[in-house]
Amino acid sequence: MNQEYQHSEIIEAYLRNTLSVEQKVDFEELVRQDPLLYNEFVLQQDIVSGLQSHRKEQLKSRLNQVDVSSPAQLGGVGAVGVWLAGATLAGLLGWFAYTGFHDTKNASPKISMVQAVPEQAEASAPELARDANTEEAAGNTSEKVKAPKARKKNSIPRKAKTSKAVKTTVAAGEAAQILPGSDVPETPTEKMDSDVALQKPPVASYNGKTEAQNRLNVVDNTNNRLKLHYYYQNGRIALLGFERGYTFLNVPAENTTYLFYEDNFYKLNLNQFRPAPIKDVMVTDAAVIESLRKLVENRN
Amino acid sequence: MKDSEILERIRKGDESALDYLYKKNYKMMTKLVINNNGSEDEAKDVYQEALIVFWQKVTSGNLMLSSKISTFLYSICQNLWRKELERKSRMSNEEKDAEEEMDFDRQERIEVINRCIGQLGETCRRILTYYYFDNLSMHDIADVLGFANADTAKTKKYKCKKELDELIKSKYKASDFMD
Repeated sequence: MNQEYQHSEIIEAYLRNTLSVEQKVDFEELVRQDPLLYNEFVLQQDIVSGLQSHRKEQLKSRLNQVDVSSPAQLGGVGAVGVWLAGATLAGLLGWFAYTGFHDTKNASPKISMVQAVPEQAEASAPELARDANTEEAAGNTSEKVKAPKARKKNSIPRKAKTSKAVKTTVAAGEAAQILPGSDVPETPTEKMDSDVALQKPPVASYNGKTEAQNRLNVVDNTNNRLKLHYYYQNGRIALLGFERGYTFLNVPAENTTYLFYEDNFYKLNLNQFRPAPIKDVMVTDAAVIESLRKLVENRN
Repeated sequence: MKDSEILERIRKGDESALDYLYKKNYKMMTKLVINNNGSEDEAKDVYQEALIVFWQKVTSGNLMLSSKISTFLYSICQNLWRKELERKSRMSNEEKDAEEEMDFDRQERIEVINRCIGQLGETCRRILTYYYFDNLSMHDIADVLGFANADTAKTKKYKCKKELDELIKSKYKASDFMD
């Protein structure tokens, strides 16, 4: 019995490859000389092999249950979890906007975010999509939006022909809202004539004080000496020396427009009437950056 | 989730990390096989095999990873698929019969062993497979299965293995008399 136990110990050690070279040689010699030990060794080999196959099948069976069609989430968080996280984030941002930026006289507790891509050559009339219930919930009935058109939330903005066009609005609070922001038709930068461009139709605004901010957006790359500059002219933002991929974040309650470009945020000065480098208005406050970054991420 | 976190979770036997990894890299890995004359089922098999190899290496502590996990997985998939293509090529070269020759007695014994593994209790099955396949330490087995400590796990493992051995040997003796 004791010898049998010793055999099982050494067989296991051999199969798990924990013997030294000398011990291995000795054991193999022993197996060659002892037919009973040989039989036991082969049996144990098969048992371990069977256990390994069993575990392998178990893992494969587990993998076959995994839904590979949706994005990977650890800890079993599915689409519902993602949706809940998004809704929570939107709620937090709404609260932040309402309590942090709220101007009781003029501002609406909404944040809009618009990403502009300067290569969109096709014109589209500015539109405002809004949800009437949201407007009432915001308690801002005295300052109605003068929108040329109204659509239900989640409706698809026009300009569907442009592949790069991304236009998203995050409403602070319960519902999403599509706002015009930089929804002005843009001209290819190489053909841009700023005087002509500045005469584009005005963009609808939902707040009189922020109308100037919502009038966008001239991009002029003709002057090589002015890289990454901006200024306001006739109530519109002009960007000089920018490539595509900039995003505007309108925060009406704060009466401010932020520019997001190459992973930095810039707080644009409404009274900047001469070209000035954007680096002068770069946002450095970590808390503000964090909330703006969440706003950007939330658009997805 | 970072690679280091995935590795740590797998090392402790957390299977949800394996699910995550499987899902995350599924398209990239299966594409490798599909783009090299493989079917979707073959691609899935190869990827699952690769992931299980990876799992086993991590849980047994035999992996010093110097690249990203996805890079490592990709190279395992490549090797497995290359071997499979070679095997297919050999099969088509009239070696099929020789490949399929099997030791009948041994095949029968493997079937008996599989049946006996299936007859074990859930805890015993898990202890033995964690020990012999995942190469988890007794400490990790105790953690995963909620035992008091590594000694408890070691005692249970010994008893379970003994139970399995006896079950198999009893079946063997019974089947010896069948003829």
